[in-house]
Amino acid sequence: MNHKDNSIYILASILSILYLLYGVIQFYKGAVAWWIPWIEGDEIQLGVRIGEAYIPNAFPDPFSGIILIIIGVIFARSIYLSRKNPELSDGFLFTGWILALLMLILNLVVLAADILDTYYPLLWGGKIENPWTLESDPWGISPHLILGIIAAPIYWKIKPLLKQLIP
Amino acid sequence: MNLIPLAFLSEGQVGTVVEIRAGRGLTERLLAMGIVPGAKIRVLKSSGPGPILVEIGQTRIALGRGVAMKVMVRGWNSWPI
Amino acid sequence: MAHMKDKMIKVALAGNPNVGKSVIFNNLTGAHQHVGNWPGKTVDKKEGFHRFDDKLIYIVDLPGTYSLTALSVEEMIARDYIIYEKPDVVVDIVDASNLERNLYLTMQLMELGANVIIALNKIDLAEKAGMEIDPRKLEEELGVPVIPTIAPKKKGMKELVEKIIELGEKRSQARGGKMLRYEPSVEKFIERLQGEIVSKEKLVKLFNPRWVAIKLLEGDEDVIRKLSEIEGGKEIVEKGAKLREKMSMELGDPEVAIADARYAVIKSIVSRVVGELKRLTASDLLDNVLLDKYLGIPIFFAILWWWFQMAFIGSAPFCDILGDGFAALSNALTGLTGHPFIDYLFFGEYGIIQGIGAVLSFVPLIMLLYFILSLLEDSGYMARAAFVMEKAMRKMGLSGRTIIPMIMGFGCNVPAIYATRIIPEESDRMIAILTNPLMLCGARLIFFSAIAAAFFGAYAGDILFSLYALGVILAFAVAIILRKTFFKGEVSPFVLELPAYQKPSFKVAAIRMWDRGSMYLRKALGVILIGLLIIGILTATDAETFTFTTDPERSLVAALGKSLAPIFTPLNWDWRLIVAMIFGFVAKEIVLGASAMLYGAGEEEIASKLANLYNPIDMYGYMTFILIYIPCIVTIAAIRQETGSWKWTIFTVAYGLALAYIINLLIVTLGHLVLG
Repeated sequence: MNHKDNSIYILASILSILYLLYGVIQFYKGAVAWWIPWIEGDEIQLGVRIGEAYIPNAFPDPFSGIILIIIGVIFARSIYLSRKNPELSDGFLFTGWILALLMLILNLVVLAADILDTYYPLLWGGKIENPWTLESDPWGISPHLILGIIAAPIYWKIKPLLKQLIP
Repeated sequence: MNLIPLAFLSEGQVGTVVEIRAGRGLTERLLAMGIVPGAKIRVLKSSGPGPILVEIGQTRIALGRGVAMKVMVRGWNSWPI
Repeated sequence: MAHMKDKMIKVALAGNPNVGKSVIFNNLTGAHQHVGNWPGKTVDKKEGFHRFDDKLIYIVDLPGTYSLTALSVEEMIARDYIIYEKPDVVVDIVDASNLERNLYLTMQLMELGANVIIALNKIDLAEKAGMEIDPRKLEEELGVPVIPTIAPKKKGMKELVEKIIELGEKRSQARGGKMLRYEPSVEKFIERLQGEIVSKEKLVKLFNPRWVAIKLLEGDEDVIRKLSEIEGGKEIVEKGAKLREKMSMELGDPEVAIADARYAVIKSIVSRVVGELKRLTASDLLDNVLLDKYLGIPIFFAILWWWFQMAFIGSAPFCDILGDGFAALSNALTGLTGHPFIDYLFFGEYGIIQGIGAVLSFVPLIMLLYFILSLLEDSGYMARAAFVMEKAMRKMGLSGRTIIPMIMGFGCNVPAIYATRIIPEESDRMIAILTNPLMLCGARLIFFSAIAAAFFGAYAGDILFSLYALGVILAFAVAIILRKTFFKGEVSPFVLELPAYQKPSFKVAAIRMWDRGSMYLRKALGVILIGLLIIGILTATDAETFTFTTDPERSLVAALGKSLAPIFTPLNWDWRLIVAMIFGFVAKEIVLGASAMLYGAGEEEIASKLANLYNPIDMYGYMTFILIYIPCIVTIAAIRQETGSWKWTIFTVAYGLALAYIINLLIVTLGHLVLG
């Protein structure tokens, strides 16, 4: 394995751990908030605090957490296969990258939609009650966005595969 | 010549279609998809119950297990290499 | 020992150098081997024994050769052994990764009339080189048994021994092997000479006529010499020389012509027997993950979640804009006509304009749902989704593809029912259509969210989730029942092509999105407007005086509700809930608004107002009724259109009402029993 390959696998390992970590956090917070609210868990966050907001913001949502865990597992599988069968390992990297990208896009769409939802009354000269802020947004800059960006460099590893599908 | 149902091939094995033992409708459908006697067919995915994935030529086709039991093939090597 | 020699099977191993012959020899003989000399020659002779049950196999390892001419010591040893010692079986070890060249020797062994078994060795190397060989086809083409082997791993040894025994014991019978004819221009010479040879008895006893013919045409010195010593041989030699002369004039050097003829046959056989091994493509690699035994279904749910989040959250602002816009419009136009009744009907809070707004506010959601679905289908992923869900769905008597309309039903049942067109078998499709209304659609979600928040506070999420789950469970239950009753028989056979992945077309998605959106709009507007009109009239008409009234309690609709009250007493409903439920028949979106009107509260306060009036258990029961009973009018229209029958449409309405009542009753009864 050459140097470049190694660095991709290191990245994949980091991504795997982060996705799994944030996935578990989101799932736990979500499960507590939605289903067993009598357990008042601490406000668990793992990120950089900017003003009132966290980056990334692990908002409580069990399904979102499960998705993050799934992506984490996919990257883990790719590492596991990287020695035995590098070809198959690439398939997992590719899939992980695609999902990470999809979730990144979703987060951007959510932010855009929330902003639009807050400010559309301006279209006909209405009033805005609560201006949009990063911390007021349930998603904010969620793990989906940050981890999706961190996963971006995998593009160069899977580029040949992508080119096969989209010539 | 040993004929076995396609469903009995394991992942990675290849066979040649010999006969389709099904009703008219299903047989027509299979023929139309390219599963014809003489065609070389490779099993891509076949784990546990549930449909199997095969490849004929450039085409990938999913078949329910019941359907795969009705396609008779002669197998190639007895070991998947 | 002599006695044993009779039962012994005599085997010679032949083949090109470096094909793994000695490895196979060692595999078979192990310690029971002996190396000596070929008599009179300086070439090693390896011989040994192999015992299998009560059979004894004597094996001679012939020198490796590329051919069987008279031009080298090794070749002479090999062919003399076969001619004079007449082994019962000759195992020709063929290197699969060098098939053509190896088959050249095979051709000559078959010309000799030897009893050949081919050991197709180094198959693993052939595959690594990208070649895929069909041993059975090779067997068919040559007419001799072909046993695949990987000598270093001892694979195929047992099969080889068994075949040796099988052929060896048939020694007295006719030899196998197809009579492989060479091309006509060469063949005619062979057959001419062969014909002459066949008449010479002494010759035929010793040699294979065809082989002799070919050798004489090739000008083989050794054969010429051997023939001259036999009765009738000289004559043949002369005839042979003459034909060789003639052949030379027609075709040039006969040796070259015959070699070419052999290769022509080999090439055509190889083309039929060897295929190219596929390299893994990007699609293959993706499928390996997306169809994975463990990851396949989780990934599917991840994609679903993504699809729904994108559609719901992405469309939300546009839905709000439309809703607010029409509300504003309605307000602005109030008082336009000057006639209170018409005013109320059209511009009232539950009037036509608001109704249009409510309907339109769904369009962005539907369009976005369809837009993304189109992208997912186009990319080729949906077929994989059907594949991973097939096993689970089949257990419930549903086809794998049913999962897609079911999921779409979570957005809106109307496009979901149209989406059932992707299900090929009619009975599967009918079941999918008839159970779809049980999928909790977006419209019902609006109502449920508001109620859940007011009644159940922190547990709202639980309540909503339970309603979704209830819907899904009932859908599967009804499907199973339908499968066993009206749609008896097996689920249709699952045959689905998985197209190669490709970049989805945004243009096509946009067209589809517009198509579906406008279809919904057309249906919805027409049907809902009429419904709203009727409701409006009923709500604003005093039951006794038939004049305009703003007091809902005096209206026709209230009278209707009150008259039906006895039926719903076991469910703890009052007439207002009944009326709201009737309104919901037109469009579920308006149940909340209708309730607001009936209780004389604004839409924001209605939930808390209800909380004060009703018991949580009763409310939960009410919500399940709203979940299960007849779908909205637009859905009914869609069902009618897609099933093409009023019978099934009415059936859906009927079973919906019945099931809703029963479940509601169960919940209310059990709930109060357990929780008081």
